[in-house]
Amino acid sequence: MTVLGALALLLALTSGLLLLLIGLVVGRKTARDRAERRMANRRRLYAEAVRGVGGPELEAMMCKVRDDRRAQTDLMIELGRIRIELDAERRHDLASAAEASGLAAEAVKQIGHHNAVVRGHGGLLLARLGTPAAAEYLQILLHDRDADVRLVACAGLALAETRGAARSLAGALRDDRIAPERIIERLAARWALEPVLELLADETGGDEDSARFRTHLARVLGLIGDRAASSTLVELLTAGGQEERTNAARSLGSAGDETAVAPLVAALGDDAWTVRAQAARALGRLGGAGEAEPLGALLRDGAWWVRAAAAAALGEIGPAGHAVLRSALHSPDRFTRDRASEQLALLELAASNGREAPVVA
Amino acid sequence: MTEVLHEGLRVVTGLTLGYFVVLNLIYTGLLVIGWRAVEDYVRRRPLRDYEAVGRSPLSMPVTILVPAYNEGPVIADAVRALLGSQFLELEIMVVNDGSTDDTLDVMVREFGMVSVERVPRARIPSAAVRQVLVSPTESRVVVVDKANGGKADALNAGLTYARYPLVCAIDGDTLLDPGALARLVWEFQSAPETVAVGGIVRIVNGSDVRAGRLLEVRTPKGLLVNMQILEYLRAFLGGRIAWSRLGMLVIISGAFGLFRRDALVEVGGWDTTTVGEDAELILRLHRRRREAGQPCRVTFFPDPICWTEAPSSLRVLIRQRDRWQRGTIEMLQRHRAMIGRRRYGAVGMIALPYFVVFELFGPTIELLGLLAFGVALAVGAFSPTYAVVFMLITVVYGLVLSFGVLLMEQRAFRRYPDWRDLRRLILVALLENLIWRQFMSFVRVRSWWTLWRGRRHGHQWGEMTRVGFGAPAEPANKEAP
Repeated sequence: MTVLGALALLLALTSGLLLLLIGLVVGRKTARDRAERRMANRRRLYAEAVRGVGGPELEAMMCKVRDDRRAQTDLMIELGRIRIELDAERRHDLASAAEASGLAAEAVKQIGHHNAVVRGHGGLLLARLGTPAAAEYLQILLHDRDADVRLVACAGLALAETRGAARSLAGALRDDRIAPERIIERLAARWALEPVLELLADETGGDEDSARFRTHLARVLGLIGDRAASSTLVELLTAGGQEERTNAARSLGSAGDETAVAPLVAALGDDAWTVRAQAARALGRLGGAGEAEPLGALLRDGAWWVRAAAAAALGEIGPAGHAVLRSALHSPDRFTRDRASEQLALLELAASNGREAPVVA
Repeated sequence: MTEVLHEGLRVVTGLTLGYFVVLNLIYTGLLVIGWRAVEDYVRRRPLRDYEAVGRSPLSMPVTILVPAYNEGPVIADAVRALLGSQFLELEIMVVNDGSTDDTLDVMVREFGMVSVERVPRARIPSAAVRQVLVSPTESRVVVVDKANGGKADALNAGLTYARYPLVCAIDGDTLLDPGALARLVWEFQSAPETVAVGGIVRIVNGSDVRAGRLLEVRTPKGLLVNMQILEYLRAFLGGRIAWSRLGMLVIISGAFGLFRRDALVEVGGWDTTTVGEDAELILRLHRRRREAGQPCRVTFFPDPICWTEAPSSLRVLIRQRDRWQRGTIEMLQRHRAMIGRRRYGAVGMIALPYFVVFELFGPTIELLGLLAFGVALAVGAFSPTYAVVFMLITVVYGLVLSFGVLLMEQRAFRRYPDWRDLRRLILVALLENLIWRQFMSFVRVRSWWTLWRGRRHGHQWGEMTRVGFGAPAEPANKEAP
């Protein structure tokens, strides 16, 4: 073959490839248009079946979904969108239909698959179907080798909203394979309050791991923001290590229990500046005129973060705090003067706008 | 003498052909790797709860830096659009870089900004900061008002006052999808060694945008912007995704990038003495962190989540591309010590040599090759048949790559669902390979000259006529005083 012949062949091959690609682009577009129409239709039907009354229709729908992975994905996405609207009875119907149709068994089969995406898919589907055994399988996925699958397990266990799920999630806090924040945010709901309080009561170890575990759980309680957690948090504030005390102080602010004010005022004298700063912030939310003086004293703290938190808290607690801020305008420390003037300016503006001042610390 | 000329021309044309073969092989490899990365992302997408990242009070909070120079017509809408983000833990910091229009007045009027004393969180040199303003009605909005110093200087001033551990640098005209930040923050949370994440930038011209919200993605009618749309698709889908997958990403667009604040502060923020501050920063991050033995993951998020206005006049486009190429030249010149050095890993051994050969000298090689082809044909040193076949192969293979990218877009994202838009892009692909690339090569070669001139005349903000998001607005000339 001559060089020219070879080049002509190359050109012919490239042109063929180009034609094939043009065909694929156009074909793909046509197929996707059709698939999207089908998908929209399917999702509408799934939503109607899930929201509707009676189990047989639901079961019939799930029988059709069972052997079609795309349909499963559509159902999974649709359930993610509307599951929150369903009452307990309908969720029970959903789980029963999933078991009766074999769809739950199909999801369980996927959990054992070698491909991580399939395992994750199965876990999420099972979680959203809400079968009683879901938590048990998701617990296994918490230790999966794939990071996405582990996060699916976290999200799925939070959907289960059971004591066992809370304990499994909290147990994963001891494992470094999932960032604690991802678990804490899933546990931060009213359903997890009791199990978390029980776990904190049981965790009495003095080692570093126990302290870290208690710190994370204190953070969970802060995010739940329930008064029932107050006494446990006060215990941590007075007897825990630095991280525990810091998180307990922060969480007490959102627990909303005024009986925590006295221990928080005591925490303003803590050796650790992180505890003092968080206690000041918490007092900004819980305190009143009586806390103006101790917070004012904190404006002379050695740590600038604590001074900023104290100024913000004084701005929040009302006229007594504002008076302390005005006197701080003459402070020898420039940073304190600036913080005080910032808070007063914001308060003045907020008053003129009839709004609450934003907290800047 | 004629023999020598013929032989010389044959050598030059042969080298040029070799260059094209290697370049196209690299492009093909990048396309294949990018395709696999996108496939993986698409399959995992339903498993990832990005919305939870946006809602969570435990997500890493973000300070968005919006450097603004004479952005009066668009700044309020841009800030409102950012406030509409699904990501809750954020601070929007507009840095007014000594605007000569009403940018600052607009912010004060629209958000009731009030001057406060704010503590700098870092010491990054910048032009004098006159005041820091916060909004009593929207605590997430902050304005840093400073003397004019250029975009990089404005970003540095913002970095000095940024509160949060992640810093997002965007342009004043960048439009973010409401879920954009949550997706990028996910990358930091899933891999703590991440120092920077970029996002795909798409062109917004022609789309339906109202009050800073993108309602429908469309292509515009003009050829110029459509050429750029295809070019962006090729650059991001057919290039950066693959470089990111290979751990060799050295460019994150200045229009949208998310960085770890402490990493930026450690390297001293953005360089104010180059026109390509975005690319230079990434290379400096790679360099300093590798020298210090620290991990440095720079990655790219494949979903199109950021939209920007492209130049719709040839004059502005040429200036933009000239600035980009000058930035590349300066970046490689400053960090030439990294090129081919094992110490800097794959970035030093593969990515930078690629940039030197194909991005720095590539346009010159391409133009010289074309010229040599022309001369060789004229003096009879090269058979016209061969020349035609070579040209056809080059053009057709370029088309193959463009259609590969279009197929990837259709498969994974489908941001242009209308047939009209696809038809336009197909037509543009045909034209792009015939005229556009050669023209762009010329513009990029010309940058060597403008770089020399720029060194004498100093650096400026790029000129861009703003139309505003969704509503016609007074054009703003962005040339610095």
